Amino acid sequence: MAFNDYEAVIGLEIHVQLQTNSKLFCSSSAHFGGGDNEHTCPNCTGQPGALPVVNEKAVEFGIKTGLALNCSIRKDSVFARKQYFYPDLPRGYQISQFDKPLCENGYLEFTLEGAPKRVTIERAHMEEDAGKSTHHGDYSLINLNRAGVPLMEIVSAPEMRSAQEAAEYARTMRKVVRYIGVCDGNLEEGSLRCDCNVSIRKRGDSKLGTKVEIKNINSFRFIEKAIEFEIQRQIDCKETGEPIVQETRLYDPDKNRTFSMRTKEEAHDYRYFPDPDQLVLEIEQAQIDAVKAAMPELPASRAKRFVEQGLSEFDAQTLTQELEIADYFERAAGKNPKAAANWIISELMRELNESKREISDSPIQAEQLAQLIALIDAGTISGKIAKTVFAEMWSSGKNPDVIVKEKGLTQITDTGAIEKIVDDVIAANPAQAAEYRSGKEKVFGFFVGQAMKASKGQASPDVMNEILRKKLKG
Amino acid sequence: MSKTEKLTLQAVQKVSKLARLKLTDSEMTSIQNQLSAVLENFEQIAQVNTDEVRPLVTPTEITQVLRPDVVEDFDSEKILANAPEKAGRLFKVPPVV
Repeated sequence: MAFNDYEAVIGLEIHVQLQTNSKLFCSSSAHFGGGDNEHTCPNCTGQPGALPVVNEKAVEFGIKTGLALNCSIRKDSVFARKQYFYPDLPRGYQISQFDKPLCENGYLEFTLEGAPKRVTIERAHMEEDAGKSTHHGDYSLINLNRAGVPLMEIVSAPEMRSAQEAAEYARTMRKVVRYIGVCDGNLEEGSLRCDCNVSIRKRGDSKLGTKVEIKNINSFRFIEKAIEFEIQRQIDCKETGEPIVQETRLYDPDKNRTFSMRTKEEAHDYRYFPDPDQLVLEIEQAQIDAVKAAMPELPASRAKRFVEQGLSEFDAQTLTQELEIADYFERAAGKNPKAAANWIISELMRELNESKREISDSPIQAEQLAQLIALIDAGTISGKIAKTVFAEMWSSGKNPDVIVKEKGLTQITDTGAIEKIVDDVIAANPAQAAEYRSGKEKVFGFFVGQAMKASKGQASPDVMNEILRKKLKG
Repeated sequence: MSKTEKLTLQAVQKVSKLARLKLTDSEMTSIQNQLSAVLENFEQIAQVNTDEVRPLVTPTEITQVLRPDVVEDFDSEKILANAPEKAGRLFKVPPVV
């Protein structure tokens, strides 16, 4: 999208919920759901005297996230109190990190319309989530199940210039945290939340414009739309001389617009100070090394490896979008990765989409797909018959060799049998045979169709074509 | 803020508002004096040359003790029993929006 003389400056704050069993500072369950206020204890409800103690798994996940985002890991990070008053924050402050976050100075790489992009990660810090409040006119209701659940807040530099770039950055972030297993990336349940900071300036200006924060956008498509709307709104403000206010706005997907939520408090209004309940979080190099050594392969490296196996860039990207699909592909690849990629992308994904299933619920296991491809490659069945077998596998879950045996679908490669079929077809269609012999080569297709039909699709196409050509020439 | 300058009344009002404290006019003046004294004290501390000193976050040498990631159930009824007002198992509070 072009904005004439203006350029957009976009930074994202992504909150990633770390999938630990217990909360960041207490032993209450951190799992989604549960009865109202079931996952609470004196600690996460802010009872006086309760001492918050850090969850070691959350720290490990924090380090893992930082390393995956190419950050440096601070060996002495500090928890700080961020003070604000809201009933879903029972202590009256959130335990977060301020001037000494766990992770700093990293980057995330992705491609946007074929062009490589690298966005700086300024910081990624640990903090606890707040509870959930619902509002009912003359009262509000509070559920503290989520209060204290561990989060990483990942802050990008204001380096992005378009809504598309911001959405792709967020998609890549989700992919990374899912690959390394620190977050399930479920946007509906709020495991991954995205706040977008948007400002505009005249092209060539180095000074940043007044920034507006758009909060709580729960899909990547909406990130794109909300930012696009906001850029246009700010340009309209500039053009009409209306001031742009530093504020928080919400996005309404039904109306496709943003609206003002509250005037953004200045940062120092939170009156951060080191939490006296916490000691310095000391990380040893050995722990960082251990996390690094156990780091699973990241999506970008996996896609690169797939290309080296002969896949197109597009196929490699498609297959690495979701961790489960990439895993499935690797198990199905066997000796013919290219064929496995084709079957997954064109056949399996279509069936999954149509039946609204995840690949983990696929009735066809990766190993079964590998067997099907092996049957084609060995010449046991033709590619055409394979589609029939695939459909049968999808509905019955049976192994392909069983289906081929049960239905008698083995490809006919026996030249004698095919010659017999071809002879019959030519004898039954003397007029067309004469046409072919008089030079109308187009009729060849007609004979292929007839002979294939007569063989119930089982004749090896290569062998049959060769015999047909020979016999027609007579 | 320089040494001689007193904390302004507006600053005290802002801080009390952020801390959700309702102060009378006379309390406001008294707090203004006290806070100014506190800040003066810090200014005195700030005179000390700390170029070679590592920043101190907590005054102890103990290192952080972490907790294993294990869920321990707590009878949340005990928590809910403390709530002045409830709706089912939810805390009921004055309206916030």
